[in-house]
Amino acid sequence: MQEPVIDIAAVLVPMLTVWAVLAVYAIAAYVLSAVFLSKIFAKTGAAAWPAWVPVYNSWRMLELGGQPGWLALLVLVPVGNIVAAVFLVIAAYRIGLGFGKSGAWAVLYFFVPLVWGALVAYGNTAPWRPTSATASGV
Amino acid sequence: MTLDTSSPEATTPPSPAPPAPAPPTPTPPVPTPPQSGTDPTGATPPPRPKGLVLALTLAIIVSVIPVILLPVAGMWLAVTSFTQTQQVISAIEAEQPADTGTDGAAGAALPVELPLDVEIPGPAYVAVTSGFAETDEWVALAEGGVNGFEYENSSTGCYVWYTNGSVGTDVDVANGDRAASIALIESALGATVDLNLVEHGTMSAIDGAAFGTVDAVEADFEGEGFAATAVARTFAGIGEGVVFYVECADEAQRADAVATARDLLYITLVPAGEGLE
Repeated sequence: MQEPVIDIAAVLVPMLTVWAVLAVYAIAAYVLSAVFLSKIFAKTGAAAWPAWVPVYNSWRMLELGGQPGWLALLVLVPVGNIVAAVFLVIAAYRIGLGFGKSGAWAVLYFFVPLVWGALVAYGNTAPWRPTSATASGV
Repeated sequence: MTLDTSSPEATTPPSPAPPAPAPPTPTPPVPTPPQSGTDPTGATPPPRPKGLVLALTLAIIVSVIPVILLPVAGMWLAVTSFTQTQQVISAIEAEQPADTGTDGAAGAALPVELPLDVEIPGPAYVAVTSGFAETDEWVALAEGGVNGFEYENSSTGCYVWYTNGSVGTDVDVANGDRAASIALIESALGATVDLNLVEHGTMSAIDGAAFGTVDAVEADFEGEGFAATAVARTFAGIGEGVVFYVECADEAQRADAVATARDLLYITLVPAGEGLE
């Protein structure tokens, strides 16, 4: 009988590594974004706990940015998640304006949302003042 | 007393008051050198928010994961998959000839040199490749079927008949290839063969690009106006055989026709379940 030609371990190890990296990233990103969003929500006077609820945290963030919250449901729809992402960037732009940040912070949110969250949540910001297009959401 | 112009009272209209003593000479406030960390205008900068450094560090680290680690792991996976795929393809290509039995190296599993009582590994059948159909000199009388193939030489009138396949139960294969080959001649021709007249014969073998020799038995038959030869080989181990019969008007033509048959008929052992290409 011939020896198996496929080295299973050689294939499984990098595959499991990729999944492990993805899992670590997903968990870390979820926890950090929840922590940052809860702090941001608290800064606006809103309840902080929705930040820990998937989808609903986007809903609340959209509302904070003056967008209809139901757009967050589009993340569950193929291609629709891109639409939801666009509106989330717009919401982040308006939230930044509400905290006295410039529009360039939306670019920061687009590329590194966690860094945006850390700076808005823990950085020096002006007192929350919803822009004219922004609903208070509280 | 110094006048604090920043105080709200400074803008308040003075209320009537008793005459004040002589107005004091305003003395400018003593400037104090700005301390480090304080705004030169005197405004105290807001303290560094608690947790900002930690939050920013964690955010950057987590943000870097998909940017750096995922491409590295992905490349690792891609390279490994490619390497493994190449190994599998190489292994398949290396094994294919021995497994298929349909190309030049396929016959490596089965011998091309076929002496009597040769040991044949595994089930196989006998195939015959004929060149008679490609020659203008030989005219087909019947092709295929139960009775085999028949050709007649248009110039000499010699007749060739050959067949191959399972020898069936008519041929006793218990006593080895030679006895079974003689029995095959008797079965095919419906005649009794004088064992004293049986000679050692040969056939040609081919397996892809390899040529070999098949040991066989040969029996001559002569009669009034004809000279015939039957060459047969039975592979007793697999119950398969091949026989060709040549009949001419005289011995000289027969010898030539037998030689032609040896040149045009090639025996191949094919693993059971596979075919010739």
